[in-house]
Order: sequence, then C-alpha cells, then structure tokens
Amino acid sequence: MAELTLREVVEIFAELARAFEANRDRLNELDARLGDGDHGLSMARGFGAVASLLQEKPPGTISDALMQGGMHFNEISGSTIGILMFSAMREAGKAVAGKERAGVPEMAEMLAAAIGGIQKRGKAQVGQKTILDSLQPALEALQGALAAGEPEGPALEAAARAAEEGAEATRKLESAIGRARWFAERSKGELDPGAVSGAIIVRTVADHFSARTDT
Amino acid sequence: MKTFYNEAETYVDEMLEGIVAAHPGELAFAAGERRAIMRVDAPVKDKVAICTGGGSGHLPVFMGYVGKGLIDGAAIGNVFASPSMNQMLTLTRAVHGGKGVLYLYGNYGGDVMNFDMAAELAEEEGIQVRTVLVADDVASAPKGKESERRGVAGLFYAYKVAGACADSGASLEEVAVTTEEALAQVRSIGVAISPCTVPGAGKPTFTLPEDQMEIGMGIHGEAGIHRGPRRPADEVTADMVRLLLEDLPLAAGEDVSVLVNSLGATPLEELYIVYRKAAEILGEGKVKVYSPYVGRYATSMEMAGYSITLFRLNDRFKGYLDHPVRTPFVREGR
Repeated sequence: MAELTLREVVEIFAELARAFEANRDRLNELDARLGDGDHGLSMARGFGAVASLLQEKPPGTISDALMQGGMHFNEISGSTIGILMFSAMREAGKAVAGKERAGVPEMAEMLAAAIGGIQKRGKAQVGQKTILDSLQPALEALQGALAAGEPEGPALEAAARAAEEGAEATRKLESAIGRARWFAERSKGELDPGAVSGAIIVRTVADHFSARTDT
Repeated sequence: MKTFYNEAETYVDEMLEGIVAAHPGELAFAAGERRAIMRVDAPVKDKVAICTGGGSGHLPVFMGYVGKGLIDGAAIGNVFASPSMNQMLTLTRAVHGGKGVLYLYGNYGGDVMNFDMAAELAEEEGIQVRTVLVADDVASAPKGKESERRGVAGLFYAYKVAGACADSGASLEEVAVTTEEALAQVRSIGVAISPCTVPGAGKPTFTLPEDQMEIGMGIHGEAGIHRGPRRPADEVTADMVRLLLEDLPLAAGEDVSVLVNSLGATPLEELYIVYRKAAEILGEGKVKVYSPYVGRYATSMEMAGYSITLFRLNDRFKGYLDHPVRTPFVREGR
C-alpha cells in the first residue's frame, strides 16, 4: 500500500536530491534560454540541503519534516524558487498536521495544498508557463484516478505521466509571469524549467512507491 | 573582466563580513544572521523601523544606507537573488522598536514573494508590517502600468523620505503613505555600455557590441527600450531627460532633486559631464534643481553606464532631503 510515513518522507527527500542532482545541468540549460540559468543549481542545492537536514535532525512528524524542510530550502536557495518551494512545502505540511501516515487520498490533498501555496505566493495561474502547469494536471489526474476507484499504484503513475505531459505542453505557452515574461515571445517552443521540475517531483514520489511495490 | 575575489561561493559572505568589520561602531549582523545587517543601535525604541533588502551586487544599495536618518536594516541575498524569507523575518524581529516595520524595497518578483511571506509571519507574531515598493524605472513598463516597473536608484530617495519621516515620530501608516506620495514623484532611467559578470556565472549578464549602447537597461541587465550606436554624453543625456519629463512633467518654477548615478564602472568625471547637461536642460525649462546628488548610489557591480533620477519636490520633501543622515556610505548634515 502506498502510504507516507515519516521514514518515507525522509527517503523521498533523499531521492529528490538525487533526481535534481542528475537533472541539474539540463534544468540550468533550459533556464538559461529564458532566465539566468541557475534553476537546476537552485533545485539541486535546495533539495540536497533538505535531505541532509532531515537525516541529521530527524523531525517529529511528516508535517514538521515538510515545514522545516521548506524553511531550509528557502534559506539555501533564497530567491523566487526558494520561497515558492517553501510555500508549497509549508502548505503541504499543514494539510497533514497531526497525522502519522498519509495515504494516496491525503497525498492528493497535500498536492492541492502545495499548489494553493504556490498560487497564493507567486500570484500565478495555470497556463502562464510555470511549475503549476505540471502540478495541476498531476493533481487532476490523481483525483480522477481515485474517483474512478483505480488502485493506488496506477493512480500515482497517472499523476506522474500527467505532470510530464503538462511540462512538455509548456512549449506551446508564452511566459506570462516572473522574469521570463520579458522573453514572452521568445519563450514559445521552449520548455518551462519550473514545470519540468514539478514533473520531476511527482515522478520521484510515484517511483518511490512503485519501486516499493515491486520488491 | 579581471576581478579580485576569493571564491564565488564565499563572495557575498566575505563582502558582508568586510563591511561589518570596517564599520563596527555603525553596523552589526542582526541576531547572528550573516545575511542581515542592521544599525548597531537597533532596535530604536518608538521609531518606525525600516527594512529593505534584495540581491547583492548593487552597493551602496542596500547596506550602505543602513544607519541614522535612513534605514534600520537590510537582508542580503546572493548576487542578484532575493534573500530568504527567514533572513527577512530575523531582521524584522531584530529592528522592531515597538512601532511597526516598513518594508521598503525594489519591485522584483523574488523579493516581493519573500518579503510578503515574512510580513505574514511577522504579523502572526504581533509585529505590524507595511510594504512600499520602489518602482521608478520608466523604461521597464509604460505609463499606465507603473506598478510593473522595476526599482532602481529611486531607492535612495525612498530611504531618505522614509528615514526622515520615521525620525519625526510619525506612525507606520504615516511613514508608508508619505513614502508612497514621494515615490509618485520619482522617476529614473538608465543607459548601459558594458555588462557585469555574476561571480561563478562564467559569462556576462548580457552582450553589447563595443560601438553600441542600450537606453533603459535594468540593473540586472534586463532589456531596455532602445539599443543603438553610442553617442556623446550630451545627446544621450538629453534623450534620457526627455523620457523622464514625458513621464513626470515639470512646470517652470518647480523644484526637483537630480541624482546622476554610476552603474558601477562609469567614473565621476563622466557623471559630472552628464549632470552638467541635465541641469542645463532643466534650467532651460525654468525648473530649479534643489539638492543634486552625483556618484555611486545604486550599481550593478562593474557595469558601465549611468542613470538619471528626478524627484519632484514640495516643501515637505525638501525638508526630508535636508534631514541629517549618517551611514557608512552617506554622511549629510549634522
């Protein structure tokens, strides 16, 4: 059964750190076409630092892990992406306050809360070529699969696929917010690095549970 | 570009350590936070505290304006990157003197998000916070979209007005409203001829052929409004003053403060050549220059270029400009 416990959360952050380290240069290159070219570095540094923090100073609950982790991410990677990840992790943490475990329906609630946090802080909407353009399709796919009574593994897989498709579809969008909006015209045809990162996050969580089901 | 630093990784921390070491009687780290600097006597009791912040690379923005008569503290990010929410929150707690805190900084997305989050958490702790954004760069968005403009050298006037108003014993609301009223009368525009390189980035923030210049370029190398052949200082200055006056018309007999600012590499000599022309044009329109400033006020590391800022004055704002200040970078009046 796919269920988040504190141990799983700590493991997933370690896996996110590895995933972003592996994708660091690719994300930097994508970012350099529309921004300052440090997105991969910010994500790798941020998740690397959160993974270390959680291993060194294990928090008491899932909620604390996310909220303290988000604070630390922002501390290490300041700037726009740092505060957006903080807002996302803080809201996701609040959504599971007091819980020791979180099943897939709770994960959907966490994702919805994270999206809400990003929207509130970044004042962005879906379709503006941001991380929301992979996270929102993932949420919809997850909710749809759960409502259709699909098993948890395939539901998470559907979310990961939807996030990847959403990221790919940002090629058709024009940057409408943030520093990249200065390159709105030029941004057509390019992938949004934030949306790609969103897809990496959802994929990492889905793979964490599918790997466990396999063994 | 040849430079003097040790490691890109330690660039900002070593710069901040140097500033605090050089001005021990004036500046200190806020509550041990190595990315937040405050005046050494903070919190000043019963005075509205003024916090600012943003990325490094713009000295004397921001730390140079921390001190008596100006601002109470600054949170400092990596070069051209916002500091973190928590650094801002730590600073806010450290400088709060019981009368609320004004967040006063340039209009950039990352800074806004981090400061807004810090403001929310500070309010939860019972610290009253008001935010005023500096958005003075006329080249960054057209008239009618003023709120989308970026903040540049106009920060200096914002600090002057807010600092003097806070020293007068005004409430947080009064300081915020007064600063907003002043900023409605402040406009800037810049021109660049060569870029800067962020430490560790390996390449400059933009490329511009040797014979070209760009009017309206931002202080992080954001695209301007006109790229063309380089021209003599008088011609470029006349174009820039014209663009400013289109946005902020000045009538004969009105008073204005003029700030001619180097973006980093452009020397004082050239700034005075620019100032001469700007003052001449204003004089032709019978506009009176009150309190001119010429020098490095808001830079972009070693970028070559300059900016011109106009601040249309009334008697109250003149009084605020005359208010004495004492910071490591600015010493005026008693």
